[in-house]
Amino acid sequence: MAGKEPNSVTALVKSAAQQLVIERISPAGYRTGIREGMSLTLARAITPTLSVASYNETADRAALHQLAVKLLVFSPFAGVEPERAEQGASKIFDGILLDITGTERIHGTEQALARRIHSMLSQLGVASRIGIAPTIGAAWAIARYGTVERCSDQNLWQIKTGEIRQALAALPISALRLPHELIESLRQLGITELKQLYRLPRLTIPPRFGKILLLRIEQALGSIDEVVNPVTIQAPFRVEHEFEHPLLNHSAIVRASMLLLEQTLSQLAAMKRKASTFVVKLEGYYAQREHGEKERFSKVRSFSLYAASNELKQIESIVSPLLEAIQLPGKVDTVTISALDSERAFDSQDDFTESADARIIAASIDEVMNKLVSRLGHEQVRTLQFQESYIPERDNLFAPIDKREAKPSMLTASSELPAINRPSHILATPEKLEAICMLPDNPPAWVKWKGASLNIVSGIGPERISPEWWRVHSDKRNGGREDHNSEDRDYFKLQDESGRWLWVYRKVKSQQWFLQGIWG
Amino acid sequence: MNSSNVYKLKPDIDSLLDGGALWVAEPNGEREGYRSTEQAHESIPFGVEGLDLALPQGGLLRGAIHEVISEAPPHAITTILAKNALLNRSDNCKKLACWIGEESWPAAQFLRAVMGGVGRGLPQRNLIDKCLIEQCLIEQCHFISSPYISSPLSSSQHNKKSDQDSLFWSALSTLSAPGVAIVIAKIPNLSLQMSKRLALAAKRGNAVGILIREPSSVQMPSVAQSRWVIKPIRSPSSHPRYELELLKMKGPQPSRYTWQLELVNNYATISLSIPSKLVDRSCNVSTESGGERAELRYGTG
Repeated sequence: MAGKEPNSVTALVKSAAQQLVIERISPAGYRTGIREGMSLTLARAITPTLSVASYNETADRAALHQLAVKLLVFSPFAGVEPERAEQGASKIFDGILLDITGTERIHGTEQALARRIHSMLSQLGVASRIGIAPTIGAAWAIARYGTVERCSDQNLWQIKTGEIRQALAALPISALRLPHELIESLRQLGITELKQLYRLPRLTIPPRFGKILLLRIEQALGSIDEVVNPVTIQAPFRVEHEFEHPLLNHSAIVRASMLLLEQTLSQLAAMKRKASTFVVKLEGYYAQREHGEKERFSKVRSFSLYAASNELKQIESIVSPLLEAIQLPGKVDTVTISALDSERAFDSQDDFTESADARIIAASIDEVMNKLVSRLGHEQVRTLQFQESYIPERDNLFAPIDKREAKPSMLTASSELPAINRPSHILATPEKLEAICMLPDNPPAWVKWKGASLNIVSGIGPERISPEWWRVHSDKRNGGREDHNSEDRDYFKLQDESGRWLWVYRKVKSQQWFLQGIWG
Repeated sequence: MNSSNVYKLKPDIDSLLDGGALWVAEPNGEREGYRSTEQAHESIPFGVEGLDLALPQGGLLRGAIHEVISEAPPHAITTILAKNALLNRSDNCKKLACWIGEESWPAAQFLRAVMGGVGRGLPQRNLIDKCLIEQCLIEQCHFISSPYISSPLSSSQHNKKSDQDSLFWSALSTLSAPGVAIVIAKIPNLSLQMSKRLALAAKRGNAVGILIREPSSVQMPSVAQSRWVIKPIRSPSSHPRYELELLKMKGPQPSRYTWQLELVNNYATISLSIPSKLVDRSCNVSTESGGERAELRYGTG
């Protein structure tokens, strides 16, 4: 199945061999001639308006996994196509496998099932090609390389039992899930179609081309079994309690919720798991109005943690203020507590070189971060990351904290720069200045900032910082209007009469002056 | 004579030497271990020998809050103190440094330069070492903001109060956590009662709390262990200079109350030092006589 169908020409790139290479291309981009594996420079030469984003393999696989979970409504066995890099093939996983054996009674014909799958994926904005065959290898081949003649329905390619050999014969050898190198060497020998491979004696294939070729042929034809590795859904840990008499007393509701929380955490601990998202739901009836019918209300509070936990004391300290702050419009008759995003709680082995304090301190870090993240939100607790830019506003990012995400490398171009003359305080937005220079390229002798005149006693500069050329060109292409970051800047370090050092810059073209930072 | 005995004599030696340096040799004979182990547990140094040795505890006392009063954001000194707090791993544990309130956050490249410039006490043989230390320290830095500050309604009194509450709560939580070494916070309209609660939290977590205050708060009562005022002063060199004045300190008093400090940037290492009388005037430039033409040109344009 192909990825999400965008309206514009979009590519996902990743860094390989010191250059950016196209990893995924949208259908619109494919039509222009851009192919996966092509360098970004070449792709831009073909389509200058190509919009580019970096390829995140983990996120890609996670999204495919989520899609497989959605498709579990059609079959109990839905799995993401195994990553073939382990077997020496190229690292591609863009397919979902469904074992539909025995589901005819529910869905009717296979065509009807395929139509339903296609319609559901279309609603999700996912373009798809569906192949139905008795073996995984044959379904994979027909879904990707099926010809128009075999297309039995819209976007459905089907092979019936007993027709596999014949149906695959005319397909190219790349339909066998082989490594690129092997496909190339077979092509050099003039073998381009599967029917040519059928004619080769089986015993001669492994010594000449490796075991993988024979394995793939036998898998496609059904001589060797292949199974779907199905995705599983972890049932949420959930405890619900319905009161015999609805509760109005707030402290009683909080107390009852805490008991349920304790039960939820005990469930987690018994299964050796811990969770990072908790949802508390209070349901009940609005206070009865005159001549009115009783209406139900539901109050939901959820929070996510920085590090998953099953510690009662820790979670209690977060849940308790949340519940106390809830304004209840009536009596509560049901309380539900769910623990989501659970993960395995590993028992850690004692480190004899580590002091007991070290363990307490490490646990307290997770605890305080959990408190901060759950009360303020992930967006408000940040860590520092550096980006490849020389422009001060763009060279760093205070990114929201996430323990589960891989940390990006700090060894970027800008971080290799010696730390020279960068002020301790950078203004969020550069502030406009008025300045007078005695000579054109000299530091200013006088500046006016926020209405105050400052006599400059010494200055250093200019230090020219130019924006990235691709950004300037991209800005020009996208409407011609240059933003304030796409102009060369001359930076000066100035000391005023009070001894304060300012970092100011002049835009080279427009000759406007701005204050960028202060050494405070 | 062990180091604790030497320190008992410190006030006498200080008065004899007029605030001069006192060195306690470490067993390995290295000069850099001039602070006793007790002091390392008790305080966080500024990293300026003349200043640390003049202070009775050899730096800012742990388990207490300290106030820094400055007109401009005093990020240079607070960032250097944060680095020293992270490196001063007396209990051999990795701890956190937290900046609370966006106004307390230093510039990213400045922070990198300070954290990367680890010379004292840690091996730094090559670029890889430097990057690893830098990355390790920067990962321990966390920046906390209020959820109300970016709201379009932030001008309302209700949001200002919520903003203050969330920053104060964050400071309390982090200060009382044993895993946090230092908290640098700027909390608007901090009352005496709030500062008392922060001091108690810092005592519980044995962290150093640095509160950035406006110059208007000089006359306000405070429970801080020490209060400092930072002002920029004219520098004949290209390195910014500051006057650091100690307004108040609880307990034993220092031998001096005013220091002149220079923010030195040598070999990509930013540190504080007491300015030398022999000033490097190679960068001294007048704006009228042509100025220094820096030969730096970054970017790809």
